[in-house]
Amino acid sequence: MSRGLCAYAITREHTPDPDVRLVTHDGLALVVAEVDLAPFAELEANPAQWNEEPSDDDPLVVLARRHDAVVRAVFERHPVLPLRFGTILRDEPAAVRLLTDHHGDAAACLDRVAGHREWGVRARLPRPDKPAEAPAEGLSGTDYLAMRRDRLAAAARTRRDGSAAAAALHEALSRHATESVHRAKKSAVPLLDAAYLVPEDTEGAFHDEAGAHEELAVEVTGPWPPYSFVHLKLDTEAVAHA
Amino acid sequence: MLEEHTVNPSAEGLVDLLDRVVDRGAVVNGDLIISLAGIDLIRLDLRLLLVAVENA
Repeated sequence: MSRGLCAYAITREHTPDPDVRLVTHDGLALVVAEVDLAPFAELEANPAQWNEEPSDDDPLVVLARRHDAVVRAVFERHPVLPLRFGTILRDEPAAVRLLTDHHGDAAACLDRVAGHREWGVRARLPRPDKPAEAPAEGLSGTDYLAMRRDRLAAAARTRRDGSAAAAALHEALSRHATESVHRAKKSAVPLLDAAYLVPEDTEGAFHDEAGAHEELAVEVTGPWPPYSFVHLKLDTEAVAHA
Repeated sequence: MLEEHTVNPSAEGLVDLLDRVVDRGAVVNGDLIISLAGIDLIRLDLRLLLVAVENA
């Protein structure tokens, strides 16, 4: 099989841009495009090739950007539920059935995210200004150990203060957001790594808050379509329609 | 201290994009879809990549 129907997002029925096709059912629409499956099938799972830094011309990056571009184009004007990358439907009847089977869930989820945008926030301790390395020479063994102990204690204190500051930042940001999710803890480096679903009319307050924490290095990314806030599992069983 | 970017050309920006596009969003399972084995493997490998970049 060389061609399939790539599905990008569920949205409300509307007049689409000329380069997108909508499969519609009862007020909902699935954003699709017929695609060549070869680039998907040829993707290689090998992050070592990326050398810890994916490049712009990596085939996965190219396809992922295309997915994001299609989702964003819809997202600019309509509420949108992004589908996970690589959702390839068999044919148009399959697309209609997907909408039919999950109409209620999808409509409710669209209502939930309508009028919102997702923002990513990552907070770290600011990089220290100066490497405070006092020369160790001339210190007695006891003094040296005391100095080491003091430094470790100071580092632990900084880390603790940082964690408290990050918790305060999260709490403050959450006041301006409808929902939030912490990204799966992958490492201890960021003190806060979360996504927020923010109503468009409180975005100003949200950003003011993100910029008001001098004790942390705060990085904000977005706006994103609500990728992190669509937890739908759209299961379909042939049996139910046999 | 605030850094902001709508389009971030850095590796971490790209990782943020891949993390969202490849690993999140609504999931369709069952007989309607054409399953491509490679994509599931990429999803797993991507998680390893995310750890590597974040710890860099």
